[in-house]
Amino acid sequence: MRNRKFVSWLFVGPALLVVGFFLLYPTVITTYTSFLGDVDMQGAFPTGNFIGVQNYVKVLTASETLIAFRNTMLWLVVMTAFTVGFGLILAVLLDRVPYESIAKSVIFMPMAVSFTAASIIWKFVYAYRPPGFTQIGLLNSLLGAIGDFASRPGVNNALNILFIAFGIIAAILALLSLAKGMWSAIETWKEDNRINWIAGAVITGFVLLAVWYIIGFIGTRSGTTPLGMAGTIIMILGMVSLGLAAIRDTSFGPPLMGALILLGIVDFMLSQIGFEPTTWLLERPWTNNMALIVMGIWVWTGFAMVMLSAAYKGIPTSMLEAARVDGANELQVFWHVTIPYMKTTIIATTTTIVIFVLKIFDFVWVTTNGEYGTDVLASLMIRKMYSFYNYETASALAVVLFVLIVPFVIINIRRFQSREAIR
Amino acid sequence: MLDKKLLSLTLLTLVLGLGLVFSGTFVAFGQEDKVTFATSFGGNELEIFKELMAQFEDDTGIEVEVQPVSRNMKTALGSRVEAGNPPDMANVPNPGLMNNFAMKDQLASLDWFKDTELADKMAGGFIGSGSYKGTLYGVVPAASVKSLVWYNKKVFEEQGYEIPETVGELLQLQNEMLTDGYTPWTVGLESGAATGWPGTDWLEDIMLRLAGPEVYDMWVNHDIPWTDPRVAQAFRVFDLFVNEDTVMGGRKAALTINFGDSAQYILPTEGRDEPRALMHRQATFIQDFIQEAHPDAEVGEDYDTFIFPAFGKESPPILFAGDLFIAFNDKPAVRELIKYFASADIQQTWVEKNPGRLAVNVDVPLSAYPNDTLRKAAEALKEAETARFDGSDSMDSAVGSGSFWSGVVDYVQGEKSLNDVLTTIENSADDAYDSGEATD
Repeated sequence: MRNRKFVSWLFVGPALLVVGFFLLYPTVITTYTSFLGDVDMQGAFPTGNFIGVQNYVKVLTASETLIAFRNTMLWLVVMTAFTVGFGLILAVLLDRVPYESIAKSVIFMPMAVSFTAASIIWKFVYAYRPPGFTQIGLLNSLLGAIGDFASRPGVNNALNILFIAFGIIAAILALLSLAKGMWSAIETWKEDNRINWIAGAVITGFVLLAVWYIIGFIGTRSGTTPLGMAGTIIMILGMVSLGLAAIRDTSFGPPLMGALILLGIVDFMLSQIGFEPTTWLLERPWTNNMALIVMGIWVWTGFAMVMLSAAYKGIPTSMLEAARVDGANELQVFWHVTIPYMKTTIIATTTTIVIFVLKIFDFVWVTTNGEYGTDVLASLMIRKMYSFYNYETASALAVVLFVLIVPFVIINIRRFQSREAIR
Repeated sequence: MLDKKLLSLTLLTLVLGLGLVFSGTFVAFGQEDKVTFATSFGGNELEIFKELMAQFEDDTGIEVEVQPVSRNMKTALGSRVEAGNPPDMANVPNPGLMNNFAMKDQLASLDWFKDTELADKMAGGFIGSGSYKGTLYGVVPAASVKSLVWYNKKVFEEQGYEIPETVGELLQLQNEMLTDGYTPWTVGLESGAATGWPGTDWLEDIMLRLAGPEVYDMWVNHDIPWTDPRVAQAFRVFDLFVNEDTVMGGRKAALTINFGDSAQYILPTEGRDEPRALMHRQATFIQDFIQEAHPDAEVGEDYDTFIFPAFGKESPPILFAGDLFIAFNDKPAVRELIKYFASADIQQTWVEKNPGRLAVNVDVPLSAYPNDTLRKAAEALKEAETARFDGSDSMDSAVGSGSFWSGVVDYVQGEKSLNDVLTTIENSADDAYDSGEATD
């Protein structure tokens, strides 16, 4: 028995040594340094005079740190939500198509690119040249091309016709739905409250769309004027309410809903930015930070998709079938069977991405270097440490970051342990 | 059986490892007649530097071991010094790094150099630039001039524009260009992780002219705060030159165009007949970039340079960058090498082999330079009563490679008030110069 214990230590020993030297020792040193002033990093242990929490006060009250905090939180919320959300949608949808493996490989591919290379790719996507220059950035040249194309007289007319045609179709659909909803409402007035709800949504959607077309005629769809913006917002609301009705009433079908919402979003975005070249990485605070976060989403969606796809494939088909036989529609199956079944994997994926997002720095470092209010905690820390040689405040920031990450690591380990226990 | 194999393997590794450690220790012991020189030069520059060292070896019989290190001298050299294994000598790109070593008493004093006759041959300001608290620690053998304005010579001749001799005349010229429908400047501040530095050069040039060298030194050493009215004034003058109307593409273009790309626009680009801008303020090195974009262009014919003028008619002060030779050990061989590189002969060879570098020794004839542009810059360097090292390089890196860059970027973007910009820099400077890593 004793012998076995010895052998087990023999096996664990090297790993313990490595972990102790490369993880424990730096953690202790960093924490210790964060309480020192006038630090001297010579030797195995830093020396300096103990100044208590002054470094933390300094770090946590500096305006640059506050901006970095805000950005890190933005990254945390937006990137995690979109990465996991897209990953989930892709995992479920791609399961139903014949070209699943190809699509998955393509979506996973950014994960194989180093983050620095990905940042450089996106730097080209966002590149800006002043108006009158050849746009070398993908996004700006695309916008310019669309703008040039749309402003041609023939195309302009065709687009107008398309918009009007779409308006008429939407109006007819809305009217039909309205009639149907009204009719159903009258039929089942007393039994089913849900129908009332549909009728309400459809009527609202129809009214809002009608208002939008009127405003559109007056405001000539110029998005930046208050009137044009109001028109766009009303259109989006109208489409969303129509879409909501469509979810309940299968005759519309989810594709129509998707198309409506997408068109609304595209229309809104175009009305916001126009076709002039935009300095994506300069417009603080939202455009540039969002532009950076999109890079993160692009890289990490593949990871979330692969994790979640594996979990999705683990759901017994009999359960999904049973739900369908019981009369659940696809969305209900998704919400009430798929999601609960995948919960543990979703949490694992989320915590992993959260840990990553808190440490993120490559994207910011390569594209903007933290200028224009885009710094995140990790990039600020790296700059303080290796560019400014300010060991004390860099250490304090590192500890803050560490404290933020620890809870998520604990969640991950707990979950891992409970799974191990089941096995 | 397996255990035995494992054991012997482990032993072998141990022995090899120990051997490595010991041999490392042996290498660390230097010889008296040999100089180790850690250098950040790379590529072609390194080859030329090695040739010069070979010449030194032939002439003096002293052996030199050139040790190329990564571009990041700060980390590479810093760790060797901390480990107690510094090279005998090194070249550092800025006084800030030299000051850091000097502050910790890790450098050998070069005060003996002041007593040699070579010291009098150094152009104005070069001894001061290598000094820390009155002691000489660094000698600059070759420099590059930063206070240059590159301009489109053809348009200047066609329009009858005169080379401005004062800042006032330059502003006047700028207005004239605007009335004639030209854009005066092309500015590119983008430089990846160093975005903003070309703007700091502008400000240093203006500060040096506006407030004079004494105030400039105080500003660089943070003896006056960033919120000082003289600093604010320099920023406002900068804004007279670099603003929405005077710069090609406006502020956004200035912020997003790479410094290397921006210079090409003083000559017609993209098949146009007219250049997009007429002037560009940048150091000597930018000629390579212009030449690369316009292989057929002739310097002195299609484009040329003038020295960024002073406020009055006096000879303009020169802003320069260069490598400081510093020594970690004081021994005869090291002294020989420093004297050798301060001499006119070797400097002449250097500038002939490595165009773009300008000799600091005033005895090097102007005929050594391959073209008029460099000759003009060399002459300005020679005759300048005042020459100052690029200030941002000399500041604490939290300021000089941090908040100053960001400050310029924020100021050019125009979304922060001047007061906000300066207060932000001052806060970081306050912090940096308190923490003991300071250069004061």
